[in-house]
Amino acid sequence: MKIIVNNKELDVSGQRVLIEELREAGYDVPSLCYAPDARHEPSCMVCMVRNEYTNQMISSCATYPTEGMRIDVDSDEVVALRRMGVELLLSDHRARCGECEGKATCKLRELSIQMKAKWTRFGPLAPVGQREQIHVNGNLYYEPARCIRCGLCVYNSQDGFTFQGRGFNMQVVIPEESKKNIDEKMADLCPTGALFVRGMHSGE
Amino acid sequence: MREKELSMEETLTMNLSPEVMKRKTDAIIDRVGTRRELIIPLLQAIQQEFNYLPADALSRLYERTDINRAQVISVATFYSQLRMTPYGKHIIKVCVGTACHVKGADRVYDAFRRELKLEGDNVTTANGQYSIERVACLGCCALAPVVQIDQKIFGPVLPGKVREVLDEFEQMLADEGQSSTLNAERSTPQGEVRLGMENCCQASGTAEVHAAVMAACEELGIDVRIKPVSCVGTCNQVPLIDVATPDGNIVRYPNVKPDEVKEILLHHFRPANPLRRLKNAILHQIDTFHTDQTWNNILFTPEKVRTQGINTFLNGQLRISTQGFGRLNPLDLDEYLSQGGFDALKKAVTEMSPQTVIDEVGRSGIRGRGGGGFLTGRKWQTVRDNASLSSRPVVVCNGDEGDPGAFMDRILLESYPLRVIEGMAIAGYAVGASEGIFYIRAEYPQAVIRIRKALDMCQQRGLLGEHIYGTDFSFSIRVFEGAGAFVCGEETALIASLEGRRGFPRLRPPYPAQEGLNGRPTLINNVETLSQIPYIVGRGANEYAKVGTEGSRGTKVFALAGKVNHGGLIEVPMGTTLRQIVEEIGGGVEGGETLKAVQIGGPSGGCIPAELCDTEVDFDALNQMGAIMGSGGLVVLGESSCMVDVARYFTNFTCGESCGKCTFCRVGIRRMLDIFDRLTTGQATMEDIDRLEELARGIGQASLCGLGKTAPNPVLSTLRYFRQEYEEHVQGICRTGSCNRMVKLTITDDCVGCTKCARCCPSEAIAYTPYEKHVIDTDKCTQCGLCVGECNYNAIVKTKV
Repeated sequence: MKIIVNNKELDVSGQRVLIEELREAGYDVPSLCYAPDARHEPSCMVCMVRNEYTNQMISSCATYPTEGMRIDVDSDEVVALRRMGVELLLSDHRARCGECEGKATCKLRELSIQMKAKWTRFGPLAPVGQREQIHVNGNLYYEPARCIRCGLCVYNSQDGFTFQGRGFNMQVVIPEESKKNIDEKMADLCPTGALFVRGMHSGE
Repeated sequence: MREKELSMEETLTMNLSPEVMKRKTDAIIDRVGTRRELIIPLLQAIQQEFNYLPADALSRLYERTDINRAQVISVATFYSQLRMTPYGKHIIKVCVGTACHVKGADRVYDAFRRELKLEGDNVTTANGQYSIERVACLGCCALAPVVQIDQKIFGPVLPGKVREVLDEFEQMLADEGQSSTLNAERSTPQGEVRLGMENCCQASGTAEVHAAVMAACEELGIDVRIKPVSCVGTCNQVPLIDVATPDGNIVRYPNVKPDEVKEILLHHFRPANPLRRLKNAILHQIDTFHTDQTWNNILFTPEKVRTQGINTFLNGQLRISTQGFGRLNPLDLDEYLSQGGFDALKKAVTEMSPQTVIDEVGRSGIRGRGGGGFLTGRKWQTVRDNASLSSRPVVVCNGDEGDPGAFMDRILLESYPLRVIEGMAIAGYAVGASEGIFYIRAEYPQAVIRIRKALDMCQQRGLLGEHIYGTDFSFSIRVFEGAGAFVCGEETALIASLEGRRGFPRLRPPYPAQEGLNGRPTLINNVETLSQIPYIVGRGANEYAKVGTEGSRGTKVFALAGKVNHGGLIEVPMGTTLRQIVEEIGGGVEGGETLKAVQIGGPSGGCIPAELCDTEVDFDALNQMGAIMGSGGLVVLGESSCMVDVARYFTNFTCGESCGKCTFCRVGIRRMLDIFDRLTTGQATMEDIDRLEELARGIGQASLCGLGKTAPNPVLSTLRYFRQEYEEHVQGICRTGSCNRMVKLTITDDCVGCTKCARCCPSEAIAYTPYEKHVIDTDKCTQCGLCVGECNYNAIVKTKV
């Protein structure tokens, strides 16, 4: 199957989501809520590309290529919107990197630096409230203030993490009796330091 | 943590023993089922039984069904109708829809809180009698501001009248049991008295008039058929009675009061019994001389004067969806059949192949009335093409009308349930489905009742069920009640909700027409779209296509509300101009103001300025102007409406209704609201306006679903046409005085010191100083505006802070 990316033809299998095809072809498409081989739902929108036919932004992590598709991967417009997405996430990120146990693996931090995203462009720096750290299981901890609500931990746990509330007040929570169903590997899925294994990066 | 809160408030509800609760929960589970996807009906049934979702009942749910706590948290906290804490015995719902908002709903809400002495975040009174909440829209916009207490609707409710409303409600409770029943049939009636009995009509007094007609007939010995009929749409002229005499004449009486009913009846009908006639005549004479009321009565007003407002309102309208208005009994199947009802279905199933039906609908050019305006014929075709033996299509009627300021779908469901059912059955036949689902919004209990009744009747008559009209076509319909989430009007979110999940939309494609409910091809059509189908199939596509404009065929039903003289429900051909609608049908802007803008399409639509109101309204023209047709709420804004406030209002609405799935909608809309909060309190800068615009464009492009993509429309359209007002707000000026924090109430020298304002002030902001000019303490003043209404000297005015 052939698609057109940045005005160049690209051969794709059509079996994998767009982001995989683009990455393999060497395009640098960022993402937060997407993890290969894990269940996910598009939510962060930083992987967006522009469908040049409809002029719509689509999340490349959940769209399969179709014959003749025309994609704009990294025009200024697309990059600016991606940055806006990260800046919006940062505006609600009630934590600071300096004291974060998960920063070594934090994709949000990585992306913010790479995109030169500004923390304060959409409002004042979100206040760091009381740092509530919830013990989940084993050495796994969850700090809600760092969560970006991508839902990876929700979609990939059976009777485990779940969403509570909706809209801006939506949070990821875990019922007490479901904690036993979660193991430490879940921390690897989390794109921020919200889910972390205590002691793992204690040297940093 | 949640459990702890419950036990504290447990005292508010009836204290059920754990065994009783367990038994009752078991009965619900036995009735509804144990599958995961049944969670919403299960929770609704539990809440109906216990008034909230008690922890014990939920525990039982975890034990006996496939549902676990994680799923309950996910679902119960998503839908606003479901609650984890008990409410009082009676629930007061203050409507904060668009029409109510522009008429001061927030002040009504505050007034109720004051009257009920609710403090802080408390929503339930100490004695457990009342709970109060804001609701998005009760769909009674023409009565704004509207309040619903339990099932009873009150409107318009002014902030100073909340005590009276509560008294009336309590009186009603005391009178309960004496109420009369609908559908009273008599043997050989002398004529007919027709009354609209929709939720909103009942609220504005038709219920009382109905009772008065019943009582009067009984008392006077007059034998007439009292017939509840479909909505006429003239919400501002109700209670409206049509008297149909045996000779076929129909005489119309608008704004009838219960004590005028006897007079009207005596004018048209003669009591059966001669003795009664004599007695009536004598009593009538005595009445005439002893009360002054009779001299100024409704019969002395010539009919022309009486019905002028209605006639101008009805002229220029064309009825397809609302055909038979004011005449048909919504639930009289025989009458509907005698007027050609279900002929279209019969024609379709007996004379046409499914493909011909789709072609006919396609040729008519009808576009979906839900908002997007997608070609209905093409959607049907897609569903049919994706159907297979292993996955049969399903038809869903989208009745989750949530736009504040819109009530078309409610009226269609309440007034013309049979027509919508017929349209749905035709759709089912065309796409090859055997199953249909009505998805009806939680806030429309009357619609649910009527649709259920209508479905039963059709089932009994064989119009639904197996082998319809003796053919191989079988089709049955069930009802699913929404649980309170605006986003579920979006089709993929609606499906999620039908499947027992939180209403998260998903990325399209695949479209529901390809892969929808449980993976089956799913046809989702709006109520209004379906109600036009019988006409298209019955009369033919050519006939239908004669109406409307090139790109938008047929008629459109609008809910006309806001600052307009004659609000109501109207149906006009596509291509009618907004000015025609407002000036001719609506009788101009209320209070003699000049038209400033028309807000169309609710939170997804935009504000069209007066200078563009001569454009013919159709899907494409509206899109070009930065609005959308939406479902068709028209809110008229006059010069006293602040456009920044209107834009903030919608942003606040979508912020609360965003599902939270994608970044731009969840955080972005919240950030827009932050900017609006600064704008409406005079703390914004010019850069804020630019940032607002940038954000709005970003959200429109990068949100996942239709809700987010269209949420910035109210902002962008007001920025486009009324940017100057935004700039004035940066300078601290709100010309209309709508933005509370930018104005204050002051008392001018016209004050004579009558103390009226001081006595009525609920927050004691005015000192009691007889014969001296009163002064308002700005710190205490909540700007409820009660004093402005009380003052006889117009001495209280809004001034810039």
